[in-house]
Amino acid sequence: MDEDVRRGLSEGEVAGTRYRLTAMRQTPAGRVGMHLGHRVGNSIEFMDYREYKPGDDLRRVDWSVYARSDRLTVKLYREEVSPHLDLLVDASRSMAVTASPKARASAALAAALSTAAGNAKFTHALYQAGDRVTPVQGGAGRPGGWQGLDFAGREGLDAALRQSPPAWRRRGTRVVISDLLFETKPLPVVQQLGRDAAGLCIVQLLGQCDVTPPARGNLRLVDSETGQVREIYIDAAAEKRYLQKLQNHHDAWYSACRQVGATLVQLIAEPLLASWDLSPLVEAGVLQVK
Amino acid sequence: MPLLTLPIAMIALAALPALASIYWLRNRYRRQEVSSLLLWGGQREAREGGGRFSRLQTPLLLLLELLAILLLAVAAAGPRVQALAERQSIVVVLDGSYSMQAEHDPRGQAIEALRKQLASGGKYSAQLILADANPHLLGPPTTRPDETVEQAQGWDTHAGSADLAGAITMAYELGGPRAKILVLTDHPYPDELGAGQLQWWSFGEAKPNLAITSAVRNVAGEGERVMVEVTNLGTASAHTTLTFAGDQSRSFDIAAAASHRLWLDLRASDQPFVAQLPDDALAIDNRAVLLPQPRPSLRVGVAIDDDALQESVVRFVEHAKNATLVTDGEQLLITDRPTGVPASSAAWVLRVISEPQAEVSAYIGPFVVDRSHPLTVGTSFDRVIWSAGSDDALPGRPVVMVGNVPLVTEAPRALGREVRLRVRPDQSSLMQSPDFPILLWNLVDWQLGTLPGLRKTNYRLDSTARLGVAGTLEQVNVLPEDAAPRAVPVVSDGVQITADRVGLTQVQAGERSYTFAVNTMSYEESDLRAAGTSRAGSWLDEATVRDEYRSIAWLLLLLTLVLLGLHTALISRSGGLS
Repeated sequence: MDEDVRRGLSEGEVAGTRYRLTAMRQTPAGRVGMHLGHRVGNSIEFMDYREYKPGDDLRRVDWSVYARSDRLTVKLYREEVSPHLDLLVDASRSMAVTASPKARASAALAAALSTAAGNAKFTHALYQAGDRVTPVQGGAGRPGGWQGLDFAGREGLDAALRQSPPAWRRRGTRVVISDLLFETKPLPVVQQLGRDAAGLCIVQLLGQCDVTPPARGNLRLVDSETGQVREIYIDAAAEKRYLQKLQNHHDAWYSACRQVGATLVQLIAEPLLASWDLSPLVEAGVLQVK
Repeated sequence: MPLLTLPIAMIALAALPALASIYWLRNRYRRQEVSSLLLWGGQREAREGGGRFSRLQTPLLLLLELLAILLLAVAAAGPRVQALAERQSIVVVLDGSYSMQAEHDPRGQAIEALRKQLASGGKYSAQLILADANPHLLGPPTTRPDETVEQAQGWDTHAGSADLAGAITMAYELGGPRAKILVLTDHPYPDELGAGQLQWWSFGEAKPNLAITSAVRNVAGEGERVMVEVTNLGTASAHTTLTFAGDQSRSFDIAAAASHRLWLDLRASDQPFVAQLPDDALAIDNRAVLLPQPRPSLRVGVAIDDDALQESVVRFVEHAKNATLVTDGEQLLITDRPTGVPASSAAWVLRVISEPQAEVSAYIGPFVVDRSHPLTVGTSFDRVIWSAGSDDALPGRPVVMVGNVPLVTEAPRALGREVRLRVRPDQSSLMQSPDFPILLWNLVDWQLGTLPGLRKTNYRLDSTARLGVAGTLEQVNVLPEDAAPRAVPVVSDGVQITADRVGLTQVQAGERSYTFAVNTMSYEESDLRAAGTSRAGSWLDEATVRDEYRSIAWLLLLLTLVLLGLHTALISRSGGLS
């Protein structure tokens, strides 16, 4: 693992101690027992009544109500859940583009989130999406023990998900960290990410180089993933077009997230690493300050 | 071919790379890695900025600007082209000396250079002058390069020297003040040669050369003695081997610029003596051929009454190697008698006229001597007391006079010649002075020279061989070893033959045949150390440029304006991009 990435892990772990992962808008699902969920479950804490439906557990029928009203009524209890965080880091080469600390920031953010998840008694698992989606060795433990997180994938996140869909925990909380700079229709990707998830947050982590067009003049642009080259002349109009496209791209992902009920947060790597201000995640309800 | 009257203005061409650099720096593509090209798609189709449109425009605009600068620079340099005028008169002087036979073939190189020069120019009329010892035209004027080159193939390079100055003078006379003169040789022009009528192209190479620079074959007693001088015309000492007489050889070292002489005593022979050096930069001077010298002897009869005079004459004849005293059948009769030789005799007569005492005066000079006459070679008559008659009438052409009194005259006879010597031997010191035997020797030598045959058999290249011819022959045929035969007219019982071919030359005079040998032996021509390749001079003097060339600067400026107009139009069309 790159030394820069490892340094990011350390920084993120420290930064994450100030936060706690929250349950997201959707009811989180997980192992029964540790937290009360928003859904009906099998805990001992009473929640509500409702009319019996075939298939309901007869042990839940409130016979005293039946005696009083001659109606079969079942008692509903809050379910107990053991929340889990699935972290997916986009490990494609675009995250390690030259002259941008996106890779370090991605690792750091993942570390911060995993630490915050630990603070909230969440279990967690870390996956990286290179050419395929694979679990990171030691990804369930502390960030210092993560092994094999590298940013060498040549495929976009969508292609990796299609290639090898991860075995995520059902009804777990999922956070995806990616620059989202790959050409695809966002909605199917977000739908796939959010399927059976209690909550989904997509963190679009960009570099300063992504949000600020290069200096004016002739440029030979090289795609960090495909190696493709394009020679263009940058002027004010080109800058404007680029920023507009970036905004449109973000809007498309935002729209997809809204449709699926996911959260989209955009962060910039450089200021993130400089100040560790995770307030956008706090505002989005992903994190809570301890 | 256009010429530039102010070539320094071409320095403006430095703006070309400067402009190209500006374009290059401006249009250089900086390499930058980006996360994805996703957001850069569609820029190509952009009308303004960010696309390839400006990039495609750049080379055309740059090309127009470069062309404009180029045209301006050339226009500033004052370009002129040759006007379509009358044929240019060109006179080419070809160095005919044998140094042009050097192994790197300067003659061939010069002909090729001449062909290129003529082919690249306009219309012309060329005359070729071969500069050997006697410069002469090679043929009629030619107007086409192939004709001129064909005529130049007759460029003979066997001369022992080249009278380039005489040939150039001849070229000026032939071509006139507007002719262009081109000298093709192997030695660079010694000084600076500016613009004018003359160009001097040399095609030589400075190389060391060993040459036989002198060779003599003489009679020595019963045998012969040969001297061969070998000179090292190089900058370092050399070792060489001289092969002679078929199978003999001598090896020796020669310091740089030094000579080595070999003296060889040989048995008398009629065969040619050949000395040969190994091949080097110049082959022609490595060989010397020497024929045995002829040993002519004139039969001299003496019929003198004066005892003292007779004693002097007989003593001379007995000691002279080229005279034999005879009593009958003489070719030269020396007498002090008024008669004695019939008019039908072809013998020459030296008649000593001793006049009566009453008419005699003693002269001590100054004596008027015809120095061009063969009788007076080597005479001085200094401090001679010459007693003779004072009558100014003596038949024949005066050779020696004192005042208006002829002392020695000569005149042709019917078949011979008569020399009259007016002197009183008993009252003169002439017979005791060195001038008297000199006078006699000159007379014998003169007469021997008029006898049929060659006086000498070995000549230096370009010297003149004299062949005496008897009878009424009008011409003789000269047959050199490696050249075409030629006829030479007989002039007053003799033929002057230029020894212009190295080797043996046979002369056919009627029924008789004679042979003489010719050797190079020219230190200057064999010396290649100063040879070199260069081109000096220019035909483009001010007057030539003014008269024969027209300026085309206006045309270039016009083209520049057109280009700039096109440039402006392109910029306007592309919305101000450049």
